[in-house]
Amino acid sequence: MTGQSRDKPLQRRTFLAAAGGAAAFAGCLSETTNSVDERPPLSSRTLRYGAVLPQSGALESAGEVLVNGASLPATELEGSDLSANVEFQVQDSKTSITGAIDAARSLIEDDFPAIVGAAASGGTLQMTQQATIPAEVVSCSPSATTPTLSILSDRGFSFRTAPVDSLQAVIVAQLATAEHSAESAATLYEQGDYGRQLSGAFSASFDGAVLSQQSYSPESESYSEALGTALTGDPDLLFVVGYPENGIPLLQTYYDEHQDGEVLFVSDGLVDGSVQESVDFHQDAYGAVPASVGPGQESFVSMYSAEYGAEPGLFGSNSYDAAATLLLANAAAGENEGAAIARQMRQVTVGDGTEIQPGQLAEGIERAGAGENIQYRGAAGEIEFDGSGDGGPVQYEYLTFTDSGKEVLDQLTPPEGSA
Amino acid sequence: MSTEDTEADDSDQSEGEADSKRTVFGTLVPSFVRSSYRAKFVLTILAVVVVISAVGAAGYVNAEQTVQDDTEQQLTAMVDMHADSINQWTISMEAHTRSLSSSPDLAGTSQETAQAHVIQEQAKLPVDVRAIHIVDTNENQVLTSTNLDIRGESLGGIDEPWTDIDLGVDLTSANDVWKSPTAYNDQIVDDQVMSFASPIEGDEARIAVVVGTIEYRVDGLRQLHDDQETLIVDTENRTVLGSSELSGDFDQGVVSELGTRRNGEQFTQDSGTVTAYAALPDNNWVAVSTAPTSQAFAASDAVGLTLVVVIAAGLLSLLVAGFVLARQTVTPLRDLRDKAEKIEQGDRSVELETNRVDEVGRLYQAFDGMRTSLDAQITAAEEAKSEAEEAKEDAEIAKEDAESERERVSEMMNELERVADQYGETMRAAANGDLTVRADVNTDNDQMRTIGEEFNEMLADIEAAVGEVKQFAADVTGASERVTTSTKEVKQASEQVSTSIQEISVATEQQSERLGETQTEMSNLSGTTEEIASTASEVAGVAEQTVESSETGQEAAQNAISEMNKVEKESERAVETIRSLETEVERIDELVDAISDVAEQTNMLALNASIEATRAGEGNNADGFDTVAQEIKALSADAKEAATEIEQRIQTIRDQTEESVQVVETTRDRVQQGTEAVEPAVEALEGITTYAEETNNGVQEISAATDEQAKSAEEVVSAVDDVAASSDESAAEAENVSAAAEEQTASLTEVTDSVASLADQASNLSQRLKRFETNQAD
Repeated sequence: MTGQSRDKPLQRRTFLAAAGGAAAFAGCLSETTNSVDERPPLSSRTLRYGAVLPQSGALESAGEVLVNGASLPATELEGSDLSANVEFQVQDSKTSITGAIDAARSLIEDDFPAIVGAAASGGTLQMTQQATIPAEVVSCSPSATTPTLSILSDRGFSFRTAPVDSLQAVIVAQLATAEHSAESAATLYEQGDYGRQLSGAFSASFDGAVLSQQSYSPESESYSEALGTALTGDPDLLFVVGYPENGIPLLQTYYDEHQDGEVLFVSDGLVDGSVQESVDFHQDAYGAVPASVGPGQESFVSMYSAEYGAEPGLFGSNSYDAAATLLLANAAAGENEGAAIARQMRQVTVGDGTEIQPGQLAEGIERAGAGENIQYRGAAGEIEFDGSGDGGPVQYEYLTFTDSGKEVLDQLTPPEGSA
Repeated sequence: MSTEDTEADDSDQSEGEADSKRTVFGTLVPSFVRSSYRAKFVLTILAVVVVISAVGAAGYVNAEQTVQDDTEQQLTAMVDMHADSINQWTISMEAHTRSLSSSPDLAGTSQETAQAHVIQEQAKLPVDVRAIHIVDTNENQVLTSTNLDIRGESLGGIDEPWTDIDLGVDLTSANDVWKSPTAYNDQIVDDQVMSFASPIEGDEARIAVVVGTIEYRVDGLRQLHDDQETLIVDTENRTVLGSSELSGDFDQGVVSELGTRRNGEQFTQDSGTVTAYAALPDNNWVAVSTAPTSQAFAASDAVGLTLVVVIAAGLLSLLVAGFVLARQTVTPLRDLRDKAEKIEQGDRSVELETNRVDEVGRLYQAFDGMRTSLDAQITAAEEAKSEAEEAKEDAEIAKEDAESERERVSEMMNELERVADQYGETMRAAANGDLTVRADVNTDNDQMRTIGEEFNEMLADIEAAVGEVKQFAADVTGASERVTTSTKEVKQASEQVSTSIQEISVATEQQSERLGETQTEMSNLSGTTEEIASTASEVAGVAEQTVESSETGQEAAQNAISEMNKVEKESERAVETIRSLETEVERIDELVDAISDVAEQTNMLALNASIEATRAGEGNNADGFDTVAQEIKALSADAKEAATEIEQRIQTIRDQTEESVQVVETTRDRVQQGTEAVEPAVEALEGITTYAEETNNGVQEISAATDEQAKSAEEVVSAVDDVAASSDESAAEAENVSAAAEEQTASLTEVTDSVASLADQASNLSQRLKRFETNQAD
């Protein structure tokens, strides 16, 4: 009797009356594998995906671009003659961690096998660990850049099309020695995951002496002390990691009181119009920022502008790429099952196959649904998912600041495996 | 069974030969059984039923026991599996906690470093780990956490079991792991969780707390029955994990025993529930699972039921088969015995028919054959005896018959002669027309009497027929006369109808003519109305033209006014210009006066100089000075002269300017007058426009009304047309009716003639029939 029922789908039973969230995990208990030969015809299928993105709270305005980017593939497919149906649903993460978890659970309860999101790094980490991974639902964040997401024990269910912060620090470390012959360096970073991760990644990759890694509190009255400590020992190069709000007074203090011929690098958080307006970069100030220019950028921008009457903002193209890859993987999997879709995510983005770009999703889905090999080439970048589920752009712009603004010096790609 | 059958048959059929056998049989079997095949049969079937029931009951008990044992084993194995699963989970969580607490990144490091570490560690750990907290016992607060809501919170503000850990009591060594005594509902993440804590290696003041959810583990555990419930309890009777309501009570003694031993499992059963226990090997917890007995043993009940059904079905079919077989053998045997007895008593008509073709059927056939041959022999002997007696009686009767026949023939010949004479007389009277005579049929001879009676009947028939014909002829004559009278009346009525209809026809034609006239008049009216309409349209056109003309006039007048206004403005500007010129001239005048003064003064100076020169003339330079003075004087005189001339010219200009001003002002006044004169004209034109528009509207309305009237007139004409057409049709119909009435009258005349000739023929017939005499009155 025990032997027989092992082949049957496990069914939920009342084990504990207090097991409140049990219903949310129903999806993970149903039958999974479906071999390629049994793939149903596309015309009988409904490709389902959801999104957990901020529609209220602090990131409401940034979230609008993300929601637009994530829903654009559904709009594109509706307008095509694709034989399959597409169902898309957005849940508001309310710009909070618990909001993201609740939103994901609601989508899981409605049997959505794949989710675009979450937006912020913290929300993405907790949403994946507490909701999507246990439920075997695929998630793909368009904008979570924390390196912690790369080491997440995700059993292959967590992906992102956002760039990874630490790559940037690796590029800066390379430029420090190759372009500026720096033998010693120091970092000064704003407290928090972002600053700590970039500083750590730089120090790990820099081929020279790291004299100090100094953090500053965002609440500081003065940055003079922190600058003094960081510059002790007269390093050849200073890497400042932070955001405009505190970075502007810090850089002003640096140029007023501490500048001593160091090469100055700033993180992408400081490559911002407000910084360029407020700070008089005297000389030798550089940065390396992710270049969101994939092969499909142009057609994505024209589709986006036509649909929403505006230019796509930050991470809009990453959001489109996330939704597009989830749909293509769903078609290739042949079923609305997270595990099957997760297995296809690399399959449809890496390696040989018919190239599919933004605007050609219908063709891509028809081909993938028929079992053909395809390779998605994205709007934000090439979008090739690695073993950690990172598929964000890996192209970086090496730039310097001039009186008239910024000037791109070079396009760079970090070496393999340097994350 | 077949053996017993044979034995039973043998004992019935060969009574004499089986004495020895019967003796043995008789000692064992009661006599009523020995004498009845039916009793033997029933007994045999009952014996088989008893054997089957016994074997089935034994099987039922055995099967139910086996299935119950299986269920018990399954339940015990399952609860053991639960215990193992939860045990493994706690071991793995303890291991995670221990490995976390030994990290150097947490010992004495900053809040920021510790926070980064726990976020990364949580990411690396399995998803069961819901949160990691680092507690600072010196500050009595949460140093950091993966959950940002409680970062930096005081322990007193958090209601979770791990906030009550007493470092010296609950965690004594660095490797020690504390765990929450029971599972609880985490308020922050809303999950069923347990927390594990361990002191951080190298930092005595800090504790690492790992909060893990047990739900994934619990969800993965299968329950065997719908209402089965499983929970984890400890030896102190606390529910570690699970709802507090179990459907049945469990035995606390068993829990204590197993929990203390940390090994083994047990199974108990009471009236309503079954309970399985299994100890967790690594702590004093026991997994307890209860299920309602009805569900737990549902399988064994089902097996038992199936067995009972099988046995019952077997027995029932055996009984049915026995009953049918008994009917097939015992009943025909008894029937055969009864019939054989009847034959023995002499009843040879006994029926021995059957449809059966088996042994019983052949037995019936054999009996029937035997009965038939016996019957044939007896019948043949009886027939031969009765034939001989009949032949003797027949010969005596034939002799007596021959003598009486001869006497009867002689009497009959005499009677025939007498009757024939009488019939001849009667027939002659009838032939002479007397249909009332009748023949005398008083005779012994049947044939002659029959002839007489039939002759009499014939005469009576003829007499009756002639009477009826006479009566009929009289009736026809009477009826014909009445028909003739009625027909004449109908004819008169028809003629009247015809006359009336012709009158109607004439009246209808007159109506038709009058309608024609009306139609013509209406057509005329319609034409007139249309003329009015077209005239109104023309008037409307004229009115529109008037409006246009007056609007043109108005525009022209407005233009004139605006032009005049422009001229007025221009002339005002001219006046202004002239006025300013005047001012300028006055200034020049002043300058000229000044020049005159200067000239005067210069003259005075020249004079003085001349005087001085004269005085100095007594000196050397007197001549030169004087010459200069003279020249100045001359110049001054010239200037004065010029100034005077200028003044004169200015005066002329001024006069002319004054004149111009007057002319311009006159012009302006005239223009103003002109403007004033034009304005009433504009107003008048505006009035005309309004009136003309009103006229136009009025005329348009008249035109519309007239059009409608014309339309109505046309409708009336067409209606009259329709009426005229139908009145024509009525006239035609009336003529048709009139013709039909005339035709009817003609037909009636023919009928009258026919009836008259019928009456004549009836009279003829009546005359002819008077020749015959009958008993009926004419």
